[in-house]
Amino acid sequence: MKKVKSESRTKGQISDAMNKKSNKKGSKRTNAYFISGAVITIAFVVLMLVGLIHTPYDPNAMSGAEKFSSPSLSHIMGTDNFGRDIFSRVLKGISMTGLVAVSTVAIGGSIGTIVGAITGYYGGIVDEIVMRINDALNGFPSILIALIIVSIIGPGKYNVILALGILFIPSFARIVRSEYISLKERDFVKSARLMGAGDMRIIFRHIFPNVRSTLFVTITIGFNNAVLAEAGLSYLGIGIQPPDASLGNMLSDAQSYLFTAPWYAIMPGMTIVLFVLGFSLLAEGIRIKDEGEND
Amino acid sequence: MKYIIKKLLTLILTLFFISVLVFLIFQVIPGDPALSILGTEATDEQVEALREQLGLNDPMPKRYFNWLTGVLTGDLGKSYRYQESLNEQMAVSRLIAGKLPVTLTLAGLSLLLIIIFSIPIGILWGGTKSRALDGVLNVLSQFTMSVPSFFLGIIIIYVFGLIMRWFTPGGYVSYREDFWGYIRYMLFPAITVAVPKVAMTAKFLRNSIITQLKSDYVRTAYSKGARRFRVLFVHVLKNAMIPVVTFIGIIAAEIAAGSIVVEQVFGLPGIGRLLVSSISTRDYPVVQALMLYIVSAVVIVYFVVDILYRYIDPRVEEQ
Repeated sequence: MKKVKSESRTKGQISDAMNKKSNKKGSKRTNAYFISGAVITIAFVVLMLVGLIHTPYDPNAMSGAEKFSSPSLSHIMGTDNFGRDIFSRVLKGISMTGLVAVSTVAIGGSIGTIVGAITGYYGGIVDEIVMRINDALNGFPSILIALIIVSIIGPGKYNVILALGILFIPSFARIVRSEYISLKERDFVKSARLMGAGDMRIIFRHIFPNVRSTLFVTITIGFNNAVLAEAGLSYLGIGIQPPDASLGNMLSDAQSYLFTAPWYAIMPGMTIVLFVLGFSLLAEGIRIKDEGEND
Repeated sequence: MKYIIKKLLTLILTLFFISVLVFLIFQVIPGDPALSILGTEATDEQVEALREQLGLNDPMPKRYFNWLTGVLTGDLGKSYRYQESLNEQMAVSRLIAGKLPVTLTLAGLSLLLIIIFSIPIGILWGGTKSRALDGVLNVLSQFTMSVPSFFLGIIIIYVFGLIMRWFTPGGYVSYREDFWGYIRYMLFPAITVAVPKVAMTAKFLRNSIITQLKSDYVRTAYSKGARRFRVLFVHVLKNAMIPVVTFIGIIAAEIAAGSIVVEQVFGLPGIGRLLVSSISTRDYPVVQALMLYIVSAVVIVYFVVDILYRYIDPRVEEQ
């Protein structure tokens, strides 16, 4: 038990040091982070929606005549080893990755928030147990836990969502819990209680709105991690299974043709980088903004 | 000393819980190990006989202790897929022992690269007054952290392997055959593992230095006439490095998992690749053993970091 305690102490210091950015550098840079992150993210949301309804070519249509054509006007990202249009497949991949990310963050976020809110608010033995489990899980590299869960329930679209969803519960629970612990002693909670508000009402109507901004940053970082984790699992061949296009399994196919068709790897790869960069810039922007307001 | 003993006891307790957990997880998995070994053509009697022989009919606590005794004596069971010879399945412990050196070399090399590069960059970054340099490093680190390791690996293979021809992609040589060729090949996967972690560690050190630069002792040092260089290297660095040590410990634990993907990219015959292929072929004895191994390694790394931390910073109070 004690070990875990000291671990969370060192972790706390680390996140403190992480958060202590120089605040003096004004809001100009804040906006640069926030705006560039928002622009990239919105662009990806648009691409994701487009990918769901329409792609320029059938993403699975093969064409022997057009194998490995380099990027051109008719195929802006070129074609792959089966002559499939890479841009269409990237669009499908974005939709797939987006779908997985949204579902996992929804699962992890909602369950994690409820667990964190209730354990943080009530405290006691249940809180102790849940947080010990949390701390233990938190110590492990996330891809390892995802691998373990997938090894038990098997690969595939829905299992990846389930695995990553479960994986994200602890991080949400931990952050929401610490917010509830600090907020539950505040005057507005006491006065709500005096007015006769029940626990559930206090938890969800009074405290929750104050947690929202922290939760928002966590959700953004969650998307970032979900995209990376899905791509990683699919790259390893135990995530999204063909024929479903995913950015990760495209990359793993592309690796064999790196010399003849470097664009095949670069296109989906750069897409992942931009996707992730958008979320991380957004999270950084929101965080600096919040810090500026609190100062 | 008392502290170390206390920590050691907690470590043993944690390892015990992990072993129970890893054991239980593989009890829940559907499927009969006896059937997996014999294949679907086996008769019911054969399966029953093997179940008896493997001890699968014993009550669960007994099976756990049998398994644990096996683990502690180096007997991790036999692989379903890998064969030693025609009629004999390969022992999991032998399988892992053969792959372990590769993974450990990769981890060691990358950790070395992380320490060599992140500390100078972090000091430069934290100590600089130039906003332009700070901005450039910030953008660079943000970008680096967004590149997934498998894509970075592919880029490195393309640039250094296919264009510059500094190494042959897929041309892994065993350390037994050609040690320097082995190190030379391992260097590129190690760079892949290290690059994002260098960015993270440097950024962490930078934040730590900036926090320290605001403390009272820095002002005192300045007022006594110390130059910025002296303040930075003599006064600040010692304190700023303390949390970084813990951070590097966490990084070390992450490398255990980070290398799973990178081994796959570079085709290295290490633990990570074995884990992935065993998961896809449902070779559960191997998966179970590797899980136990990796999770224990992470816990032990944290234990070492905790001890080191106390040694470096005696202010850490005993709880």
